[in-house]
Formats: sequence, structure tokens, C-alpha cells
Amino acid sequence: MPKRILKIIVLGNASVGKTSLMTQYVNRKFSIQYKATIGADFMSTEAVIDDDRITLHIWDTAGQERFQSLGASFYRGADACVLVYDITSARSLTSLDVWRDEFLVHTGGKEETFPFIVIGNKCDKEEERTVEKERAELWCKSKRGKPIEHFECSAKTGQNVHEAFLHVTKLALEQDTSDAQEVFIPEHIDVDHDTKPDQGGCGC
Amino acid sequence: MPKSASRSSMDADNAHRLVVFQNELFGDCESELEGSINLYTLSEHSFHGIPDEKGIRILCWSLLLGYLPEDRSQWFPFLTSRRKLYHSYVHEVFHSFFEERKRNDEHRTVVKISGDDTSSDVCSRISAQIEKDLRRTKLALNLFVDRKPSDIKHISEKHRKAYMADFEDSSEYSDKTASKESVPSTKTDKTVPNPDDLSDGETPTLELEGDVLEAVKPPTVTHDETSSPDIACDPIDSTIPPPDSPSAFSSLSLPELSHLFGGIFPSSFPSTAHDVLFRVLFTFARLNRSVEYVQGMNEISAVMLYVLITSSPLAFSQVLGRKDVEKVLLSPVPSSPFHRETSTSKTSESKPHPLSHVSEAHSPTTSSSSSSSITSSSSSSSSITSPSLEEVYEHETCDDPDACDKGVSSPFRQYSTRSEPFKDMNPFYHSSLDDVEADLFFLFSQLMERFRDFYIRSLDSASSGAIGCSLLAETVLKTLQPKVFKAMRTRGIILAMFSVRWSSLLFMHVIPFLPDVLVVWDCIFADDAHRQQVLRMCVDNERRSLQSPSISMGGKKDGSFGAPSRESLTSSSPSILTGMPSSVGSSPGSGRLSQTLLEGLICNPHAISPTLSHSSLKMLPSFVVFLCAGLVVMRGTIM
Repeated sequence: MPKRILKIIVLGNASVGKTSLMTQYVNRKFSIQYKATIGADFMSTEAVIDDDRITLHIWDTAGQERFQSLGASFYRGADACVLVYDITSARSLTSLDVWRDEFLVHTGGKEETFPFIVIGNKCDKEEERTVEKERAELWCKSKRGKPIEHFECSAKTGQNVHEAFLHVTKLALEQDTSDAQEVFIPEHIDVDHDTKPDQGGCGC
Repeated sequence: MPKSASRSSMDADNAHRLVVFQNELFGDCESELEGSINLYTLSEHSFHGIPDEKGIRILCWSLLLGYLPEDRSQWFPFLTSRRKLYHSYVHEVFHSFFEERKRNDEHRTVVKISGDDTSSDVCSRISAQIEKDLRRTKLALNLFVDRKPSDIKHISEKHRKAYMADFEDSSEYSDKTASKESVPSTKTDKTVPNPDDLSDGETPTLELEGDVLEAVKPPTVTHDETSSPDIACDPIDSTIPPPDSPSAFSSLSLPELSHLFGGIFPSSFPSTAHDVLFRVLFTFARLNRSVEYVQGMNEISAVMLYVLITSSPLAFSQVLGRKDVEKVLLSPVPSSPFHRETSTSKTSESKPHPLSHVSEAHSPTTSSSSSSSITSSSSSSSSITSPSLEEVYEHETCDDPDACDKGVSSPFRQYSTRSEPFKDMNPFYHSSLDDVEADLFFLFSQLMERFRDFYIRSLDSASSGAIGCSLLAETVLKTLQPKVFKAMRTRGIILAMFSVRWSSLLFMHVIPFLPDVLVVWDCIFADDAHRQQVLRMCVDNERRSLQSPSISMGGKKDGSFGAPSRESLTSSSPSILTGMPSSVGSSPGSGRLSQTLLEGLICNPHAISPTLSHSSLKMLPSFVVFLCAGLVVMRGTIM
């Protein structure tokens, strides 16, 4: 049986901890010294589900608004999407709507069927919590389609991180992956054409 | 190659380059600055890498980026006026923000604004973003490492509340700030051993401080947790007491600011350098509203700040506190590769840089710039470690207050050894930290002016934008390096994915070693300046021909003016990047042009591609060529 490759996209506001979550899952490490992700990045890891070995490509995207349109080109062929918010930031939860909508628009995925999960990160900072668990669960329930699973994790301590990613991997497996092999081919600019001397030219 | 031989030839080469640059920069000036710079030749020389010594790099960058005028006699007056201008910018930006904020707070108590992005909200958003990014900008240079590790305390909720309690009462707060400001001497005593040294940075702007404080006081009362919850404090971050900076802007240091911005965190910024970066980025964002602040700017400005600060002993001592220089130099090596910048002698033995042997063997230009970092020009290629460390230590422990002029901190040791006179003519040598801040602002603005399009979302697909550039680079690659292109295609590698990072950080992240970053930036700035010069000449030619009576002034004018270039560019003056016919080509350095760049980019000496000098490259935007170069170098990884 050919090895399955699944593409998972991680989305969320700036500095909610997307890179940290990913690194915690893939390398089981945490560092407070991440730099802001610019553009996009991805990590590859293997997961074993029901004795099947599956290769995961987890795509980390930049959170800052400026990079959203750039990130969109990496969404294609995604099998599942992880939405991340920060439990100490209410705004990061409400932005998930935007992230989710934009993702669906760019992938052409169906709202009812496309697998999402929601991770509330930084649950080690209980004393600074501004987003109650119930509120996030309410957000998940308010969406149409498949119920969205909600996890509270801590990239710092590693709490719940593996459970969350395992769950999203399973969801992605269930998803029809027929479009996963599609390769994004960018449009081309013909250099020769572009740099042709101006016909009018300099008349001298 | 025997080490000693290569070393001495390297030294000779170094010395020679130094002379070349001194001639370019100072001409035959003896005691007064006069005459003007030839940017054309300066950019050609700079393209090979700028020497690290004597603040030459910052002077060259200022010229290449168009900050300093070409007329040498204008340098000092120009800088003075610019620095004043920056002070007024800061004043304006922060003053108007505080005013707005105040109005808004009053308003907010009555009507809760929701959804409306008032300018105050924008400010809060920007400041929060910058603050977050600066906190995790692993500046990694020792300049930015906290000054007193022993003072570090982890903030618990309790601390935070206690801290906030101090600020709950507005009158109490204003009293505090006022009293703080009224006795500045006690502040400076703590951190800077010799306040006299710093007086000239302080005096002219006292008025400004007062003004800003006026504006600071009122709005401090409210901090609306719900309005900007993103700024919540981060207990992971450690903090030290607010840096008592002797700066003219100290009333605008982060603890005060963050509070005003509706934040509820004590400063997590360990050093004055962070304050400086914050003010510069925030001011830039407010004055350039189409660009605002984009992630990546934090890193770029940090490197520029580093280069500025290490060009001026005074600023360097101000940012570190002179006694701590020693501590920092001897502190354990953090994991960052940047660390080697300030203590090369210590780390080079344990972790030889991959490039060091390469550059030594292949390209004197690269090695002269990359390994002669600061402490010693030969340490990364030789086994001398402990003596130079002791030497450094010796210098650091010297207690002479004037010592910083003689090279107390390692970056300035070169000043004492070679050709003193130019030191006084370098307008950046005597900068105080405030001057550095102003210069950083303008240099950064100049840089942004050149590369702004990468940062603007709506220009992404324009040919000068981030995506446009990478698409163009892909096309070029397809023609010139079909193998690389094919490999990328079959593996589904999207160039835009990393080219965005490359462009908005000017290759910073792919180059692990700061001196190499600096060399690559030399190339980029030089190439850009060179093109501008070429363009200027073309336009001049064009203008001349337009003025000649034989040509009609109608129809074709615009077209030929907007794109004067292909013929004239290729014939009259070649791009330095692509290797050059005519006189330039005969110089021995030209063959190394792309080599320098490529090695700097990714430490691979075998990647020099002859196809890069393909003539069609001349017409491409500079950055596209750099992108291609980067890709060609990376082909080992791709294929």
C-alpha cells in the first residue's frame, strides 16, 4: 500500500503559538525564542494510525494580516486545518471566523465537510485566561457541518498537543484526499517578452 | 593552503581594501571634509563587501542608501538637522497619539465603540504587534542581551498586580513620573558610570521630554482590559526593572508606553536597545501608514541598529553600560550564531563556521569581511583563542573613563591601531545613542523606500512586489537553470513560499552568521545604488537628447523617459551584479562578484554559475537576480 501523505495547515493570529505547537508536536521541544514566522514554513513528521504509517506535512503560516494573501497559495491540497487561538486573547478567538472563511474560499472546501479542529493554546497560563472554555466550545458548535473538536493545549508543557494532532490526522485520513496530489503551478511571466525594448524607443 | 600564508595575504588584502575605501570616502581630505563622493565607484567597491573597521560600513550604507548627501562638507550639518527632525517626528507621533487616546478614553466611557478602527485602536494594534515581535526578536547580539541577569524576575500574577496597583491612581502616577524626571541624575548614576560622557546627548532635548510628559500624564488612568486583551502579559518572559536610560527619549521608554497603550504588562524589554527599536518602528509605522509595520522589519532594524551602535563607542557604552561590556563578553555562549560577532575569539574554536575555511581558500573578499568581524580579523581562521580573549578582558577592565575612545570595547579596537585621522571625519563615530536612534530611523526609512514593495500587501503581485518578484525569478530560472527549475517543479516547491521570507528579511534567515548577512547586504545595497546611478546617467543622457532640437518633444517622450534603459543600460553602463564588459570587466575583482554573493548566501563555493552573467539578467530587478542566485546555491538541497 502506498504511503499516505497528508497536508495539514495551521492557522491563527500572530503569536498565538502556531510554530510552538508544531514544534512541540514534531520535536517535542519548546522554546520561548521563536521568531515571527514570515511567509510559510512546513515540517514533516510521521504518524502511525491503526498500524498505517502516515507522513504528515504540517504547514505553519504567518499570523500577521499582511501575509494572509501569500499564505493562501499554500492552502491548496490541504486535508485538514488546525485553527489556533490563544486563551489569553479574546480577539484571537473571534478572528478564527476570518481564518476559517478565508481558508474555505481559497481551498474551495465545503464548509459542511472540511475537517477543522480548534486549539486553544497557552493553557498553562490559567491565571491570565480571558477566553473561557465554554465560549470556545460555543464557537465550535456555532459552525455548520461536522462538529468541530476543541482542544485546550499548551505548547509549553506539551499538554494535549499530541492528542489534538492525532485527532486532526484521523480526520484528515477520513477526508477524501484525491486532490492532495495537485501541485500548484504558478502563472508565468515571460521575461523576454517583458523586457523587449519599447517599440517607440529612443529615436536618437 | 598553509594557514599563515593565507592569513598574511588576507591581512594585506584587508589593508589594501581599507585604503581603497578610505580614498573613496574621504578622498584627499586632510582635516576638513570636502569634495564629493563618487557613488558609482563606491558602489562598485562596496559590492565586494565593505570592511568592518572604523565604522566604514555604516558610512557606506548611508551613502548607498541615499541618507547622507554626496557632498562631504554637508555631512555634519545634514546629520544635525536630521536628528532634530527625528526628535520632532517622535514628538509629533507620540503626542498626537496620546491626545487621541485621551479623547478616546473619555468617549469610550459613554459609548462603547465596537468595530470602528479609530486611529487610537490602530496605534494600539501596531504597538502591541511591535512589542510582541521585539520581545521575540532574538536579537541575539550581545548588545541586546539584558544587562543584569541577576535582576531577572519571573512575573507572576502577583507581581503584575502589584505593578499595576502603582498605576491605578492617575495623580499618583503623574507625581511619580514628574519626580522621576526632575532628578535625572540619580537615574543615570545607576546605569552609566560616567554621566558626564553622556551630557551632550541629553541637553538639547530636555524641552521635548517635558512636552511629551505633559501629554503622557492624563490618559494613564484607564487601562481597558477588553479593548486590547492581546497585550496581556506573558509570564514566560522575564523582566528587569525599567532600564534607566539616560536618553532624551527616556520618558518614552517602554514601561510607560506600554501602559499608555492600554497594555497591562510591565516591561519585558531588557534593554534600552529594545526601547530604541520600538520608538523607531512605531514612528515609522505612524508616518508611513501605507506600509505600517510588517513582521520582519523588527529584524532588519535590529541589524541596522547593531551596525550603527558598533560604529560609535559612545553609543555602544550607553547601550551596555560600560562595566557590563566585560560581563557580556565573558558570559556563556548562547546558542545563537550571532553571538560570535561580539566574542569571536571565544566561540570560533568550538564551532568553526562552515564558511570560514571556504572563504579563506577561495575568496579574499568574502573572508576579509566575514571573518574580520570585530574582535580580530584572523580568529576564525586560526587557532588563537585564549590570548585574544585575555586581551579583550584586559581592555574591558581598564577603568579610564576615556577608554572607550581608545577602544575599550572590542568593536573599536581597530580605531586605535590604524590611521586615526579618519575617525574624526566619520560623522557616525561620535554619535550618542540618541543620534544613533535618529540615524537608524532615517536609514531604515531609506531602506524601506527601496524595498518597500515587498511589505505592501496590495503590491504583492506587482512586478516589484513579493510574489511578482518570485514569479519573475522562476521564469528566469527556467531559462537559465532548467534543471533547478524542473527539480523544483517536480517536488512541488513553490518559490514564493520562501522568497517572501528572503525578500522581507533581505536573506537574513538563510544566512546563519551575522557578518555574512552584512556582506550580503553590502552587495544588495551596492547593487541597488549602482543601478540608481546608472539610471541617473541614462536619464541625464535622455534629457540631453530630448533637449537637442532634432528630436520632437511629443509622443515618445514619456515612453522613452519611463523606460530609457535597455539600450542605454546595456551599452553605457553594465550592472555590477552580472559581470561587466568594458573597463570594469578587466578589474580582477569582477569574477568574484557573484561568488561573493553566493558564498555569502549559503556557504557553497561550488555554486557559481556562469549562466548568472547572462546578459538578459541586466534588465531584471536587482532582487530577482538575488533570488535566482539564492536558488542556484540552494539547488543541492532542492535536487
